Amino acid sequence: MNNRWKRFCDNELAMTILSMSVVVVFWELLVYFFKIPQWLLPSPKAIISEMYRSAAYLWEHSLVTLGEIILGFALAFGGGLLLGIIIAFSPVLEKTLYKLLVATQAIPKVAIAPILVVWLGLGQLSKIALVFLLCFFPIMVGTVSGLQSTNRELLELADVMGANWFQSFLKIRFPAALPYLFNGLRVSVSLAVIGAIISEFVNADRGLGYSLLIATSQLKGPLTFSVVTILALLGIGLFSIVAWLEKLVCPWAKSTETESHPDN
Amino acid sequence: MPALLSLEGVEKTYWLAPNQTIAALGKIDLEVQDREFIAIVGPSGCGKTTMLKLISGILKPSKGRITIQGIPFKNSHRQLLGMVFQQPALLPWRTVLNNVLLPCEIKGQDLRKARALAKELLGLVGLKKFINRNPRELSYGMQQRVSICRALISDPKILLMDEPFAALDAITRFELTRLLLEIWSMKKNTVLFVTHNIQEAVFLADRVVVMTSRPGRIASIIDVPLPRPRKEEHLYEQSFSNCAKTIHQLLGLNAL
Repeated sequence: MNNRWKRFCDNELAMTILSMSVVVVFWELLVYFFKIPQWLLPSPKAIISEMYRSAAYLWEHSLVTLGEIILGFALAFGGGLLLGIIIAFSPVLEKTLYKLLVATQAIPKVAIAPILVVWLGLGQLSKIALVFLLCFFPIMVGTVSGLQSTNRELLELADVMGANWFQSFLKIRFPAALPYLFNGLRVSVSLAVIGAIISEFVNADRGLGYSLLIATSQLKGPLTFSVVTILALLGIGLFSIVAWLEKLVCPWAKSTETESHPDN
Repeated sequence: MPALLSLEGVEKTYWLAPNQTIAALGKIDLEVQDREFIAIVGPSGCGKTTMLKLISGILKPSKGRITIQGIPFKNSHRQLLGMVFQQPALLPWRTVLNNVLLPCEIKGQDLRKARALAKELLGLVGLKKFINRNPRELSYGMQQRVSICRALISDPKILLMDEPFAALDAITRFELTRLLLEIWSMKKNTVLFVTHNIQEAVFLADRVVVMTSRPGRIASIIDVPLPRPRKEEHLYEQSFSNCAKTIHQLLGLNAL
């Protein structure tokens, strides 16, 4: 019995589900006993039934926001990776462009959201642009620092083996940089959701950010919380995909601390 | 017939600042014959590693010239070289077998043939069961064995080893020393083995190059009078300790 209990405690998934269930039950009871009005704090049951009722509406707006997130993120990934590679191998660009880009990070990018609407119009382009701006920097920095911190001995080894620049990039530098790149991707994907919502707050006629604003202005508690729930799930889902990809692409990265040989 | 490898008046100076240089290696003359086992001993900072890097082409000499089979260094010489570092320097994203195959991939050799040779080499160093493992699952000593296989896969004429056993514990170290001798007796590569361990140098080498520091110079080259194959008993022979003692004195360690 004791042993089984211990094994249950060690199961991460089981513990997560358990602790979340406790919160949901506590929340449900809180709303029930204190008779909290729905517009202030709906019960989990009310949120779930609202999600069911407005499924079509929520689905439509989720797709809009998800589209903005994925497009912005994909562009940032391509651009950040490419520019990161160029900067990592160009001392001149590193001293000029890279320093400049780092300096621009002092600007709170959320503050640019209204400007982007002025520049790019009310459509989805301004939303994609903000997602791109938020995601671009961590990906680029990850790429640059990853490519620049290759183990010196590995590079000398490539040199002794007579590897040309392209071979040593492909077989040594780039794979070695992957864990750094994924660090950037994990930060970016969380920022992507924030970026899409913020710019929909600023000006939009569709998307989850838009529907969140409408729902709160009309004091539709269950709908508001439905949107927030979807956003949370979206964030967790996207993050999990990146984490899963990381495990798939560079399984060696995390195992440094946990699985190293006892002799080391 | 020219020597396999020869260093003539080789010097290496590093630039610290525009007007400040440091002489890492001052005027080295050395001739290495085919199938010789050379150990290079010296205090840290005597330019042992610099010398290996010059031979391997990682660094260019500031003065003098390095020739292999009478020909000054050129890129195709890299085909003749294999290198083992102090760290195993394995790629964690490749399996043990694929790490060993890396030089063949880079040189564009026939991988099918290479794979068979890699398996044979890994079997020779006792890692047959581990060929599909990740390097991180192996102990440090095992990783170093893999890196020796990686250096041997292209059957190099000259094997450069930069303190390969320095980070190992004494027992693993001796095991690998013996293993290296065993492999060498089969393959008969020329070996340049950098170490700061006098006993190790004498036990392994035909000749021991003794270096002094700042700037690095060759103090003397000592012939080791022990017969081959080397056995543990040799460690306790008079000629062994005499040889070690000479090196000891050359390094100026008795002055302390």
